[in-house]
Amino acid sequence: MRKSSLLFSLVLVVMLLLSACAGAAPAQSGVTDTGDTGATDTSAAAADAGAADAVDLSEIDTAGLNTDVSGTFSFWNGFTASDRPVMEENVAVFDELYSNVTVNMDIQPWDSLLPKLLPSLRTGSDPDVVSLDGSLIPQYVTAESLLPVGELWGSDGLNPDNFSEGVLQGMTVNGNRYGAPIIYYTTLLYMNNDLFTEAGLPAACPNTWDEWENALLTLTIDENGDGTPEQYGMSWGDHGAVSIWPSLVWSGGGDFVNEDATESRLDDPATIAAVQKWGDLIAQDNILALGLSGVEADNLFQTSKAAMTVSGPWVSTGFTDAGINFQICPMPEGPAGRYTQGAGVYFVVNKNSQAPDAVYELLKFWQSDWAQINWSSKTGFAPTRSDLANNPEIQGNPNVKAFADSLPDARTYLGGVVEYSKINDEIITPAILEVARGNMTAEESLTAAATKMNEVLAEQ
Amino acid sequence: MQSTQTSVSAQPPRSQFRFTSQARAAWLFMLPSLTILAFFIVLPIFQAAWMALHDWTLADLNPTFIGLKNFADLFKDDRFWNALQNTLVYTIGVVPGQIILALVFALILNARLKGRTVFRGIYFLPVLVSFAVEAIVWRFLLDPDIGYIGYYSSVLGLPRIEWLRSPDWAMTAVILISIWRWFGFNLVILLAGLQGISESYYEAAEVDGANEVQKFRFITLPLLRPSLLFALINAVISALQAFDQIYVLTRGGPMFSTETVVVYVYREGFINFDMGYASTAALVLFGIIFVITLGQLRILRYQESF
Repeated sequence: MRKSSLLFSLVLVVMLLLSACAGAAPAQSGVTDTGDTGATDTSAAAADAGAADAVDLSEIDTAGLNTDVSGTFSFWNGFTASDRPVMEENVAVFDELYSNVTVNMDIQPWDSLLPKLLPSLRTGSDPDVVSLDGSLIPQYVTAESLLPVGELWGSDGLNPDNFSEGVLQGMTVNGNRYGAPIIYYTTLLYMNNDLFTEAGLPAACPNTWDEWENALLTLTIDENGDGTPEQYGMSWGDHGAVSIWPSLVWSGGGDFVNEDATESRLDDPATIAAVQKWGDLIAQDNILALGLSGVEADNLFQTSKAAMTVSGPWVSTGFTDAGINFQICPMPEGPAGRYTQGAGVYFVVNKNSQAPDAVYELLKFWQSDWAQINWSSKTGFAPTRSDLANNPEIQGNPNVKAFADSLPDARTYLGGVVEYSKINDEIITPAILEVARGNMTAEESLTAAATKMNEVLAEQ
Repeated sequence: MQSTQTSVSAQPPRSQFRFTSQARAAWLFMLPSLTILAFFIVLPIFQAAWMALHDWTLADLNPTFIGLKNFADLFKDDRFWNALQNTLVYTIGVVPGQIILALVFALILNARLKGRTVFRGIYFLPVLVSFAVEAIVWRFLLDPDIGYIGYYSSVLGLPRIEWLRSPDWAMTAVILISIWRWFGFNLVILLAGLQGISESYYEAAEVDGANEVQKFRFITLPLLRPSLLFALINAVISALQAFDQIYVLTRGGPMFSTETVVVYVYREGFINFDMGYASTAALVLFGIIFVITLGQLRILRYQESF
């Protein structure tokens, strides 16, 4: 008995240690909804020096860069998933190229980074520069924590003509630019070619809403007639994911907010019609399962339980590894056109930064051909610069190409709205889900939501 | 009378007592704990009360005094009432489930069963493992499309349940998972209490002809009261403060069906940055927990006589 107790205690200790290690590992990355590896403090000069050494610095085009600038600055970001080594490599190369600049990079999960960011920005100069989701920028601008970076986009800096309207819109508040893009992504339609073929449909991208609807209804299969499909036509996440509703509403001719973000357009007849149409397809025809997170929606597609999904570039590697025969399609065209939601993560600069010139150089370096192609080819994200879309390396990867080609269709959701989380998470999403669950008509739900939204907008 | 006066005069006067070396030593020993309590418990409570009276965004250097407006807004806020209702439903579901299950298993393990140490460890294991890991496992298990529970339910012809995806079922799932996680903790407390009850009470009861139910009712339960009281107060406070299990499993969804007050406070404070409003909701919860705990202490106060 004594021996067995001892043995059991030993097993417990081992399991405890394992669980502690596991507890530090997986969590969710706010941007890509993939895994992360916890927080560390990394000096870019020391970190990944090997990767930087492997790059021939003479091959990097430094036109427009001021490599003589000096300074030390801190850089916080949340790139903790598979994109982490590429972030470390790019920053290490920057550090190598700018011999008088030192970057103290701190990579930590978004859930840890965000709660302490505003207090840090308001009370000191740390971090000098930070990665921030575009949807959060207006909130930080209102808190008077960010530096407008107009001069970065001036004649000696970045050329706005090289970036799509969506990229620029995502970091612009009240006409001022507050950063430069790190990544900018759209969500597109992934289709399982094998399931299309099995259902007797051509394995070709549905081009219009009618074709898409037909495919969705054909591919939603309820074998035993219990009202719950064994195979869904579609999967998408209604939380922890980039919402698909903006692209549906825009393609239907509707919108969420007026241009200067002062008035709700939820009660616009076109918005109501689009939400009602897709809500009915969900509530009555069961084309998808509700209540899924982004990861769960990806899982359904990855296990061939859903024939289509809408997601970003970060899932394509996982689908390929799982052996899914898929292709990435543009979002089908609705009555008012073809739109997808574009979202970005941006460098934003602390207004108390003591080294803005050195920080600006990092922002410029990030948009250089080398940094963009390196990032894009290793992470699967399209370049932030639209003039690189025809680069042979981008064209050579069909997945990256699909996302790069979709940039002209991209629009920013709730751009300029300060209370983004409150309006999206607490008003718009619940109102649409009431329709998708069949609890309310779109007119009832969205009219009530528009009133609430206007109250919040009036306070901002 | 004389003896009474003598015994009273043997005690040092009250004012002198403070300065005895024993009292000084006691205060010194308590000083580290008192300092921690003052800085991390008492001071933040007063700070929260002060913030509740202001329009105070996160790290605001110049908050605006608004009196009781946050309280007035809170009591008109449907989301807060929904969160409060969810918190109470969660507490009512989790606390009896945990305590009753812990008591049943403690009684079983208190019998001289072979391998009870191993079982005790197994039941305690969920408390030791990181909840983030457990939540991921449970999310997979409960997934009606690709999870084991959904699969075996369909094999057995049971109706499909959407568990964490459905506003009607999510709270039930969270309650069941919380009971599974925490009953082992209460089991250890109650088992320790059971093992502290002298066998002589049961032997005397047997001599008097008491049956098993009577022994449980008149010996076990009264003598277990201190352990039960501790387990109950601890479980109630933990349930009213439920955050991590909810946040990791559902983030308060779907459709706010599992949003508890602390999840709501977190959202308002750290996502919407409205620290003044979040502090107001936290203070109201503090008041509710305070009143409930006082009530519990009063109803279940420890009495050795039975």
